[in-house]
Formats: sequence, C-alpha cells, structure tokens
Amino acid sequence: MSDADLLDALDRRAARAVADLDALVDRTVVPPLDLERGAPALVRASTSRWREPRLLAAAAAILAVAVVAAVLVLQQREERTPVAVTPGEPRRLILPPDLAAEYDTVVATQGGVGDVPLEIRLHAPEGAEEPWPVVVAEHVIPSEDTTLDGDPVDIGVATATYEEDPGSVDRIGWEEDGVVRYLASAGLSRDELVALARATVEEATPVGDPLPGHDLLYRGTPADVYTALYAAYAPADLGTVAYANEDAERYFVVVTSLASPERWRAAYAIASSWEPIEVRGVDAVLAHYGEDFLEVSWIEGGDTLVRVAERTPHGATATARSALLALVEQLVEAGDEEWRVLVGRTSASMEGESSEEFDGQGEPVTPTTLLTLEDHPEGWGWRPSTSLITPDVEARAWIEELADGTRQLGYEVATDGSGTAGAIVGADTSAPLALREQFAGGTLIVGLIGPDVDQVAGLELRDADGRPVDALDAAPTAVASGTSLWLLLLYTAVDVGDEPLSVVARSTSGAEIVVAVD
Amino acid sequence: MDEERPEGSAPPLYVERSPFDAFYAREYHPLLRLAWTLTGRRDLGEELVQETMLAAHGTWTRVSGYASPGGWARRVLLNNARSFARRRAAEVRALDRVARPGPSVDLAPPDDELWAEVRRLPERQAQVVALHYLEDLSVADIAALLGITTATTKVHLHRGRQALAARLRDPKEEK
Repeated sequence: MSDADLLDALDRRAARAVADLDALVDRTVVPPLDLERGAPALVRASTSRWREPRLLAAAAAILAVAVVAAVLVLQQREERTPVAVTPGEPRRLILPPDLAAEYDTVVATQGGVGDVPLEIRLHAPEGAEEPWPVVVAEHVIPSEDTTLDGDPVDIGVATATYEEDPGSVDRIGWEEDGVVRYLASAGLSRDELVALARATVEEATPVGDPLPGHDLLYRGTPADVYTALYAAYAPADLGTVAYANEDAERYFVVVTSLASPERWRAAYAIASSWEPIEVRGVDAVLAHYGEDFLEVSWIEGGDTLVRVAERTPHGATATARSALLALVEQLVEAGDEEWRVLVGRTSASMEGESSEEFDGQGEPVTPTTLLTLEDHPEGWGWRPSTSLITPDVEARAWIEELADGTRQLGYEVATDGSGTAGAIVGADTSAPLALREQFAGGTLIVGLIGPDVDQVAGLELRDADGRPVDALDAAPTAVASGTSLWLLLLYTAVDVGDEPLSVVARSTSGAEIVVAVD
Repeated sequence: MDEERPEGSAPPLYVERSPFDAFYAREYHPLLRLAWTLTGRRDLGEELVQETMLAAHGTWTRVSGYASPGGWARRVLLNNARSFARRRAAEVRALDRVARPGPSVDLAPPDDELWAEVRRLPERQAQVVALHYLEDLSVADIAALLGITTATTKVHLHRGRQALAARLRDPKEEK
C-alpha cells in the first residue's frame, strides 16, 4: 500500500472509531458538576518545550538580546487554577517613524515555526498572592546538552552545583534521570535555594510538579523570561522590533505579547533586581540585569505585555535609565498593516541590515541575520526567520554543521496538510546550487547563490528555454545574506515535474546569476 | 441548580440557565470524548472533565469573557490529560484490584488500539491528531486553540497521522 492509501485507511478507521465513541458519549447523561471535589489539581496549560536545548544552556546564563523571531502561546491564569487562553492579537509598539529613522537597523519579527522545545516553569510560594515578589524559575535540559558549572553543593545527589551569575541570578543544578534540573531565583538566598533543591530531591518531586512548598505559577518559554528571540522557536503571539545603531552603541528591543499577570512576573523572574515604577500612566517594573541591561515592562491597554530592553554598555547609570524611560514614553502603537509591512520587510530582505546578539557582558556574540558560513561555522546557533511565501505556505532554511565538520543547507516547508524537509549538502562550498523538492502542496526550490553576491534584487524561476515559469504562485524569498551567500526559497504550485529549470537572481548592480535546479 | 419554588405556584415555563450551566451542558460531551480517548479510560476521562469544568467554574468570571470558553477548556484538558492520567494511573490500578460489585463497565473507548497509538505519540502530536479526528477542526482552528502556528500544526498533524498509519497498518490489506 502507498502512504496515501495507509493514510486513507487510517482516516476511515478513525471515522468509525469516532462514530462509535459518539454513540456511547451521546447516550451519557451529563452528571452534575461536583463542586464538593474542591479545587482542581490541574495546573495551567502547558506550553511548548524547546527543541534546541543548547539554546537554553546559553540563554540561561546570559540575557540575550537578539533579532530573530519567537513562537509562544498565550497563557493566563486566575488564582491557582488552570491557565486561560485568550485568542487574539497583542498591540505592537514601535518607535514613531521619525525616531526609527535614526537607527541603522530596524528588524521586526513575529512568530516562528515549530514548538519551543524547552519549557521554563515559574514557582511561587504556596498561597502567595499577586504580585508574587519571590519566584523560582525552573528549567530542565538533557544532561548531554549542558554542563554543570559552579561550586559543588550537598543536596543529596552527587552532581549538584551552585553557580553564581552577576549578570542575572544564581542557580543550582543537579542531574537526575538523564536531565539536569536548574532552579534559579533572585528572591532566595543561597542557603534557601540549596534547601529548596534538597527538599525537591528528598521528596522526589517530579519535573512538572510544583516544587515543595510552592505553587506552579506559570509555564512558559524562554522567551517569556529572556528578552530574546530565537528564530523558528518564537511564540506565535510574540513580536519583537529591534533598533540598533551601526556600531550598536545604542541597541534595544521592544517585545510585545499577550498579557497576563503571571507572564508579566515571568518577564523579570531572573532579573538581578527590580523596582516598581510608572510609565505611560500605568504601573511598570524596571528590571536590572547586572550592569549590562535594563528592562522596563508593563501591561499596555490591559491586554498587551510590553518589554523594552536596552543594553547599557556603560553601566546601568541614571543617564541610561533616563534614556530608556524617555524612549518608552515615545513608543506608539503600530497599525496592523504597518506591523505586517515591518515584519515582512525583515523576513524578505535583510540586505544591509546588521543585527547582533549580545551576551551578559554587552559584547556582540553572534550576528543573527547577517551571517556568512565562515563567520558562523557553529551553525546551530542561528536559525532564520520563517518565510511566509504565500498565505498558505511557510518555509525556512538554515545552515547547519554536521558532525564531520561539513555544512549543509537545511530547509523545510509546510502548507495545507502537507510539508517536506530536507537538506543540501555541500553548503560549505558556497557554490551556486539549487534543487527542487516536490511535495503534495507544490514544489519548493531551495538553494544557495554565491559567491560574491551580497544583495539580490530579485529571483525568477525559468524553464529550459529561459522563459519565466508561468503561474508561479510564489514570492521569491531570500532568507539570509552575507558577503558571499544568499539562501533562497521559491515555491510554485505548478507541477514542474522533471522539467529543466533554473533560478535567475538579479543582483542590485543588474547582473544575473543563473543557478541550475537539479 | 434549580431554585426552590414557592408552594402552590405554577412551575415556570422556561428556566433560564446560567451561562455556566449552559456552557457545562454544551461542552460536557465533547470534552468527555477528548478526555476518554486521551486517558484511555472512561472513569479517568470523566474525572478529568470534572476537574476541567471545576477550573472553569472557579474562574468563570474571567473565562466567560474569553472569545472561546470552550477552546479554553479544551486547552486546559488537553494540556493536562497526560499528566493527569499518569498521576491517577497507579491509584486506579490499585482500585481495580479491589473487587467491586456491580456490572462491569467497558472502560476503554471503542477501538482503543487506535487511541492507544494516539496516546503514544509525542504530546503535541497527540493533541493535534485528537482534535483533528474528534473535533473535526481545521488546521487553523487547531492552531488557534493550541496557540501554535498553522505551520507547526500541519507538521504535527502530518507526522502524527503518518506515525499512526505506519503503526496501525493492517497486514491483511497489504497487496
């Protein structure tokens, strides 16, 4: 049987099973709600977990401010009952155009593809009420993806260490069942955090359950806790616009997402200190991350959590604070179309833009949108934003390094009910190459253009006679640029079969680069 | 939840249900389908629905203001089904060993071989597949309900169905 036949058989079987189930359920008398059961034991709805554990290993130690996108789910909560989910879109705050023009880089992103493969849980003391001044952040990373640093401590397991982080909060970690479990809190002393870890071990509290003496306050993604953007793993409702001067002397990001009190608390869960302030006529929190970052957060309009983080290379001085607060007051709400254009411009064309990721010391770490293979052999640390090729087709591509040191261009595409993924090996040659990937939803053309192409003005798919392929139901999308490389994605709903094809890229100087499609 | 009627007065022709009562009556069966299949046992499913509904009841002032209280309830139920079943499984097994009088009840859902394979899927895939089959929701609706992108939903659905098809293929149907 073909795959399609198997899927058809599955669908038929499921339809029969559902019909039988419906018959049984429909005969069920709806019982009264048993209010005597007491408070439900359910916790809030879970979110996605990170897929890239190494990202968290790095992110846990630094406050990363980057310029890629993130995916998140909305979570709200009332008292200690399950989280609520409100469909909807948050407001998007940006600088007004005249001020934005003062920055060399303006990058906006929203959402991503894939679940965020790591989860951060926030615990508050049992019975604590909003605004939960003391919280403990917990995350878990597979043992092979992290290293326990710091001083050995005794909590009843051999591997426990206590790690001090002047740029954020201290954390304790220990290994259990193939994972490393980390607890971090700005509100607990070293002794208190060690005691909590010891109790967790002694009581064999499973991952996912409230820590001893605590309620599970929030489950979220790293993007809830770090003002960071991880391409492809961005929460769906989370949008970020980043502004940077050419030399990144001034660099800040504005992150907007749907709001809840718990999500707001998560926003400064690992700040080294924080203070209540007022901005834009509402309560706000000014969080300090050592001397390296300041971040203001508040709920705008009752429904949108806004976080504005600025790198402070000269320390969190009164001047830096005033500058940040002044900036916050100038933010304006972007219209839907304005936001869409801003995000679209970023994902479709990155030429001339530089955006960087900074570590807790304020040093640039990894350019995230302007990259070359030579600059970033690690590969895994970078993922391009999702490219929305048509309203129904999303695709992305990235460079990754294999175990043997070679690199490849990975890609995936998803459309209504189908998708495909793959990779082109030999990406380290930077030689022009492209291939077609046919799937139920159409044909994806993916490949590399280069070397010596730093900008592409347009892409076109042509047949063997050099004629544009008709009815190309796609927008050409370049997803990354560097000094010698472009990645490209083309999609067509036309059945191109094995017809010889080529991609023609026009550089900004008018030159054409022809790449044969395998 | 009926109010007491003064003696001798005529019964009301129409009793307006509270919004929560209406929500409860409307959503009980759909939630039970999800809970039953995702826990694998009817009693556990009923218990999970009760807990979900209690959560909704306790926060009804807020939940009722959401665009889709039913979506909220599904999300809560889905995201807690696996841990709930795991947590209760040991207790239930212990209880099952205690002889209980009365007619036996078929606790497993119809064609539990299928649903057992759904439960074996990675959690998010299982949720997407369950919503696809049991609720007949579109990809966009599933994505909105789970708070993930449509692309992610498509991938989960595609992979989930593929995995199920491979595991459940019937050798007799092989040509």
